[in-house]
Amino acid sequence: MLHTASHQHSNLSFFPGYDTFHTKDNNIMNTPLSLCREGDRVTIKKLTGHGGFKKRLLDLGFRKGKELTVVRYAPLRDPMEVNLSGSHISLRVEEADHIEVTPTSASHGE
Amino acid sequence: MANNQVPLTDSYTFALTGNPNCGKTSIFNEITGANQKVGNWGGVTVDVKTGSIRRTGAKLYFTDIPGTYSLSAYTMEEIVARDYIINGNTDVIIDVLDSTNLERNLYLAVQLIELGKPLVLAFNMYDELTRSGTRVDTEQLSHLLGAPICFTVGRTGKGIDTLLDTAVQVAKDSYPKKHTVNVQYGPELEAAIEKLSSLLEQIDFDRRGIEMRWYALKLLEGDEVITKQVQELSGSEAVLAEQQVQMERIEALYHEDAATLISEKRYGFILGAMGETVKRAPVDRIGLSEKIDGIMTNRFLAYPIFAAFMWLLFQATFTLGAYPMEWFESGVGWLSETLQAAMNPSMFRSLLVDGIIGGVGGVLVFLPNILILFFGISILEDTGYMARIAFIMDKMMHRIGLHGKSFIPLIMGIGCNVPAIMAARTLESNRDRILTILIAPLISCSARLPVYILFAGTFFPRNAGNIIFILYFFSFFFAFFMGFLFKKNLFKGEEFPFVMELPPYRVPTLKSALIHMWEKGKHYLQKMGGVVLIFSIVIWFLSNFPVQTEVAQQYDRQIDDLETRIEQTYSESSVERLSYELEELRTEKHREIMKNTYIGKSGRLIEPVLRPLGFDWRMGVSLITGFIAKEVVVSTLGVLFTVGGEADEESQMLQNALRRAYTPLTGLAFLFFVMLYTPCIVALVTLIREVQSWKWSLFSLGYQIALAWMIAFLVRWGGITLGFS
Repeated sequence: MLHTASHQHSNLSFFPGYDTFHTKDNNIMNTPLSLCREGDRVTIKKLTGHGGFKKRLLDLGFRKGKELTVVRYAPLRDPMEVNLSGSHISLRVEEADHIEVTPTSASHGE
Repeated sequence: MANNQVPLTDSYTFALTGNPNCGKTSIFNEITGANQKVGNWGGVTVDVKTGSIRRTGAKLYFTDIPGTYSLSAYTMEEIVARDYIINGNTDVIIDVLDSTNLERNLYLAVQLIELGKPLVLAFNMYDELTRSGTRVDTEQLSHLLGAPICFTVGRTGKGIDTLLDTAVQVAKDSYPKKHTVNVQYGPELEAAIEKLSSLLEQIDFDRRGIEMRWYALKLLEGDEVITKQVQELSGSEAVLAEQQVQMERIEALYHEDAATLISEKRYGFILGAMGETVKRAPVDRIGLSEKIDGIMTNRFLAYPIFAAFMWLLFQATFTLGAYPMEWFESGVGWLSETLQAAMNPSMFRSLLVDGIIGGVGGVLVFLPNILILFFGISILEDTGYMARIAFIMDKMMHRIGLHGKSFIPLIMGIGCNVPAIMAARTLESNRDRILTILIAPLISCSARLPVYILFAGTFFPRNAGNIIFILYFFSFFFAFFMGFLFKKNLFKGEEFPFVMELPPYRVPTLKSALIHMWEKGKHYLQKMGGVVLIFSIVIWFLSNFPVQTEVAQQYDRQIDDLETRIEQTYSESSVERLSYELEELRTEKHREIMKNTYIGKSGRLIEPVLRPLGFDWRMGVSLITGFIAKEVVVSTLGVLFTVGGEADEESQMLQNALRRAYTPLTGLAFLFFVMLYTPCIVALVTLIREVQSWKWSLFSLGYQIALAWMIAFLVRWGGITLGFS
């Protein structure tokens, strides 16, 4: 089931101009949240995706610089659950494709 | 103010708002008690509760509006919530916040502050916050936010008195005036806000007491509802042109849309304010809730646990519910019999007993199921387990285009489609809800079982169990298949995101479960009862008119003759023969009378349509009366086929008569037809009430009948082609 997600992602990285805008202040490669594993601690770098969906994420507290932990995947590997400073949010793997993150240990901060 | 009527006492109105799961409803229940009314807001099926209390000489009105994460208005509930906040005539908005998650809860608070309407903040679940060791400098935070802050514990009622006092003070304008707080969005965005505000100032429109700045912000965010609202104003062209210019300018400047930037600035403001005032204890909430989740959503345990809860809910609803259902049935039965005995045979007695009491009984029998199911659903919601159901079921349900939560209405449909259709309300998105409601009636309910038992037992006595299993299998298959088709063809376009909160597990309160249950029961009786009653009377009329006095009299004369002959005969064998003839005659009387009523006529009228399926007019009549309830199909066939007219699904006589009249293949086709066509009047009325759209209601009715016909046709002709008969 994860195949679909990684497949989509490999398409995304070939997307022209995919990470041209935000490479100026860090060289660490952003990965989509959908590729993270259970227990990963990551920092949000960018939200992509269409208007309504993005607004929903912002309303729920997903914002640039916010830290989150991947709590678990559902038994059938989709959707996934993340911990966003105490509130637990579930989202489909295909939706997590639109959240770019980097591992927290490498770059600290808000 | 052109108010020339001075109210005798002061009265104030308050709107309770806040994030979902912030404990808002328990505060509302605590304030108003059971003194609540539920109403639908503006034609959509979103419940808005109101309640009132009397307090120190003033009448206070409260409205509990749906939970929302922000004022960007996304789901149906959020649109209702925002509409109420903007357009409702409230004196004070009370924003309830979950103190354990201030950052996200303040996100809504900041937007409410920007509205500029009188506001009180209630930091709820404050006990949990202090227990974790976090300290809040309330005075300073209240100053930074420009709104009074009260602390509450919704489940115990602590702090609610102070909250009410403060809210009344704010309403009376006697609370120490706070200054207006504005989030600063930086020079570029501020310039855009300034520009749009000044252009907006030039148009004449009703701001509903809201800051112009807020409208400018909404336009910059590209908010569809507000943009549309502005579009409708005369002279708005300049504003809309400027909106485009500014949105594009900001995006070119920051490589990010204005909505995201505005949101980031809001969070920046919140973090700034919290940084100064909240001393957070470095405890992470890896508490009980997470431990429970480790089990509830565990890869191996999740489904067995879920199945166990579903089994429990199902058993409670339909097995436990069967007892009060029986009481209702025997009560109604007793009433009809008493009236039957006490009154002389007349049209009026028949109307009263068969039409009205029968109809009321038909409505009442579902009430226990509905009450128990919604008690259970309320507990599932309040504990937080409902969100986990969506979490573990979403993958499967998403395959066929549904939401994880759609599973509950569908599984409940096995018991009865009426509560199943109502249970679809747990779905937030209107599209998911309508889609679920459209396919729920296909799930084979318990009222269809008697028909299955009769026909499977009659035509496939050795494989009756297998046939019934196949029918249930196909009922789910068709529900999922149609869901898939509808999603592909009728609900195309942007998909509703699944993103949702998994609230921490909480102990449910009996009070809130009882209130919820009571509301649903009341709603069911009020909204559906009347309509079902009217339908029952109509059906009664159709099956009793035109009056066949002559036919009846003719038969009665023959029956009388036979009876006297039996009395005068002494030979035992002749008595037996004559008794048999008598029974036959009585059946014939029923049949002939039924044949010429409006229902009988319509049965014969639709016969040509049903003939390709191998059905005759008697099947047609039973299918029409089956609209009352599916089990009525059996009793109608009993009237039309058997001696004495009384029969149930196990009657040998009826089985023999059916076997003589139809082939097994016709029987099977009939079973599929019964499985798929409209469940019953109550289900139909519930559906009409719930989808609130004639288009969808007619579509639902139409597609079910069409599907039933097509499948029955396929079964029959497929069977014939394969050499069965």
